[in-house]
Amino acid sequence: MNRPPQLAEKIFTALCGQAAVEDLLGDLEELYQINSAKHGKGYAKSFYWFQMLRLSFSYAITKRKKQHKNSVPQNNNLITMLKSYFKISVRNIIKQKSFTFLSVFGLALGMSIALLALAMIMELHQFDKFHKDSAKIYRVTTEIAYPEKTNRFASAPTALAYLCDNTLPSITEKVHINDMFFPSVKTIGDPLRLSGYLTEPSFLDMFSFPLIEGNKSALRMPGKVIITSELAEKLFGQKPAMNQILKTENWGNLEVAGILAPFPKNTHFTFDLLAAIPTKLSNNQQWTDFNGNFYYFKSNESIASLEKEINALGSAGLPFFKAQNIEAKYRLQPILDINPGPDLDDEVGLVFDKPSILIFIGTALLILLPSCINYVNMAIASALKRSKEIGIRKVMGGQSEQIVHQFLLETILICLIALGISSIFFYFIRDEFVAMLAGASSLTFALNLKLVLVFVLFAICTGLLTGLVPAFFYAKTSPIAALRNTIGSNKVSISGIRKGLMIFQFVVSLVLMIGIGVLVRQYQHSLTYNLGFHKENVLVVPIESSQSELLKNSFLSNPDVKDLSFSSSIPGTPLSRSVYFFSEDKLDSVRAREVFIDDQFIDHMEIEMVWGSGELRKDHLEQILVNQSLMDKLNNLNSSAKDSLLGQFQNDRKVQIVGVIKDYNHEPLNERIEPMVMRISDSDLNYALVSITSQNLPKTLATLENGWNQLYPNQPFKATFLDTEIKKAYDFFKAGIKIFGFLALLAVTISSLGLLGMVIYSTENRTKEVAIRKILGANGFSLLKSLSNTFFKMWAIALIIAVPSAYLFYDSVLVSIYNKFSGGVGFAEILFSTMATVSIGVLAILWQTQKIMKTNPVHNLRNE
Amino acid sequence: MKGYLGEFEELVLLTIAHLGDEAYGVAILESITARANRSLSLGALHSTLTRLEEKGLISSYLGEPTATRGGRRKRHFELKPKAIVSLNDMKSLRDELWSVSKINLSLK
Repeated sequence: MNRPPQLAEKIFTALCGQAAVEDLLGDLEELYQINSAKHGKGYAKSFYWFQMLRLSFSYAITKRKKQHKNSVPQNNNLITMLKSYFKISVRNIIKQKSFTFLSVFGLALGMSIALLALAMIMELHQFDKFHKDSAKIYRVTTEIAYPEKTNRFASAPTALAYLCDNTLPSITEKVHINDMFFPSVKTIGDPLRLSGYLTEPSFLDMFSFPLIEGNKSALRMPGKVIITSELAEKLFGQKPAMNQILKTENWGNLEVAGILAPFPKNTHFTFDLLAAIPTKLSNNQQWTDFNGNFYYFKSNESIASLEKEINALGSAGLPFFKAQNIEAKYRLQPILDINPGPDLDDEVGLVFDKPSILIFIGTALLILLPSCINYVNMAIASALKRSKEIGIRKVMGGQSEQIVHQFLLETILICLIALGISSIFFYFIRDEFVAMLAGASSLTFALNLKLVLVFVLFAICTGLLTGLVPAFFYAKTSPIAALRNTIGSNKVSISGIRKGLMIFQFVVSLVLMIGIGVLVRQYQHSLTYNLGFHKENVLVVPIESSQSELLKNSFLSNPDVKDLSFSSSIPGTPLSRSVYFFSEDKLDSVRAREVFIDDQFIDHMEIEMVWGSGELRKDHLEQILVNQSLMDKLNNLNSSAKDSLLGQFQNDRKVQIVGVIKDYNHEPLNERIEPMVMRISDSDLNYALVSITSQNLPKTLATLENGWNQLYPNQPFKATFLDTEIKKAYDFFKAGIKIFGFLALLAVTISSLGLLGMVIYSTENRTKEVAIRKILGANGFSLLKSLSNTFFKMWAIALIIAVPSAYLFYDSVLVSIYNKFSGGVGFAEILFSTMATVSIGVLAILWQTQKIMKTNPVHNLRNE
Repeated sequence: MKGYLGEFEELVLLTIAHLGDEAYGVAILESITARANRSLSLGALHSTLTRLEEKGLISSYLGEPTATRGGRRKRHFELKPKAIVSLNDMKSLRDELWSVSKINLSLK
């Protein structure tokens, strides 16, 4: 056969590179054949060379090269290719059901906390955006340089704020806020402690909190308040709240002069009510004492020039600061940068600062990372199953990139499935999260389109990053190794880093499981602990002080009521009132919890006395009781002539200590026993404590309610049992158990998955070894032993680390903040958690070893 | 007149029209060399074909391989409707210019 010059052909193909030139080569050859028939070989050959060169540098080739470069191989086949990747991925996912299930589940658990973090960040960036022109609202923050450190405060001197009001022309709107407004409203039971802002009418202009009723001018009138709709409902229910009077303990009577419409929760302001700034505060032209005073304003000017102007104004106050040896500088903070923002001192309202957010993100990543690493381990471990597929792909001309794409797509697909499951977890944990995080109630975690998109993007990124390692691992393998099933067989041993990671995961899950045990034990201990007073069959009825005498008669007339007393707080629940208590000569003082009781309380509650009778009489000096720890802490107590000790309160009110109570837990066990004074009072009794002996509880309750209704038909009768109230004070344990439970579930699952990955990896790599052992006569047990040896060693190491660290952690950290604790970390917890983790692991090992032990050794050795 | 057709481009288009189903590189080359009596390189022809394809005047598809081509496939070219419009425009312009000529262009 007459062939055209081979060299010319080769040069031509080389020059054209990857461009498609099949038809051109065909044309060249056809011309050659025609010419050699017409003019002879020699002419044809030189003609071929000439034509080849002309063609090589023609526009046709340039264009075809360019076309090749710009198209992903076979442009119109891209979709087909993606379809095929997708199809193969789906088939693999379905084929390896257990692998898919484990990796999806692990990733879903790992991602759940990250989703929470993402949702939280997304939401924080929406904070305070609903105010009109929110981008132009700033507040003045103060940077105070002490000799040793610099603190930045969210508040600003009032003197500076008034200077700004009067001299800065670019400020269009401004508002002064003072957050030292904590009225407590007298109600039935405990007084309702509210928090609010003292401010001016412009507060409602600048921030978008619309009024439903009333007028903003109320914020100029003393004694009037504007309340939120939530508070209105809490205080007055369905009744109209306008012009009602709030009787407060510390701010006198406040008249409701306006009600705010319900507003979005995503603002850093948290308040129940607003009132005018009292004149004594607004005239306060202070520079150095500015705690709790905030200044917000709106301006079109740039932040830099505003800062310059304000610092210039601030120089007027510098001498005052200099006098205290400190320096002050002012900076502006846009309202949109408050959440998430820098961690400032004297912050107003609710702020999630960036450092804490970063810690949260770090935790989320710390949970996500092991699950990703486990996925990688498992994906590589299953290499042997996939090696034929990869080998054949490569032999058929599959490029490395195509194999990389295949695996990336597969991982992304798995991550997307994991996202679906993770969203279910997210849905469940978000409520718990909101419940346990202070201030999280202003986060709604509502799903919207943007959040869903961010979630999907996050899953795709996770998939991309996680998939890179297995993808490149597979892409690198040579087709021969792949087809001979020898991928990775030169790496039989598991590297130290992987072992370390595994041990770390074991330790974390052990510590968390021990933690659950400790919490459960602590919870039970708290409920059964003898608090030092009588708590069985005692009813707690919230009352108003003035009702005490009448109620006493009404209740005692019931034959089922054994005894009754009154107190200002429920024993066994947190106390909020405290006073300073001085020795008589005022040389020593101690901060003491304050409880008001009636004369029956000590007897009724069966509280033990160390000294004195516990009976309080009204003498010319007020008689009080104190507890032992007050006696221990307060020196300089003088005894009086009447066999009692003298002391006094802040307002120089002298009192006589007539009894010392044996220390008992008037507060929950998580509070230490603090110094405490018990005073007799008729006007501060919030609860009636009623002991009942009853065979028929509903009937007794009904008669009590009847008696109540005769006296106070307009007030509902609300009775609970004392032990229920005390139990409620320990509800935080339930939250703790839930958190620990969830984290332990995460850690155990993720570490078991990791373990499984490693077991699969090592057993699959040791199939030949197992086969030879079997042929030489090893029995099932010895095989199991040789296969699981490494893992038992790892457990042993983990246990050695976990137990002491758990012991240290719970006994010294958790228990030290706890008043009394019985056992600390017990043997039962250690045994249980070890058994749980080990049995999960043994199951994993059994499952895998079973597989290779069952196979006929011939199959594993035949291909050699 | 829209899109400008060069003289050689017009020639190639008409040749493709003439060859019909058999319009591929060598056939076009042979036909032009034989009719127009001018020597033409394969490179020049394919450059023009590429440009015509870019302008959307012709389209191409790969045919069956033949033995004379070393088992390689032919690339066939076809006229697109736009090419026919362009050719017609060219023709009518010519005819018009011929008919309005003030000099007698007749060779007789």
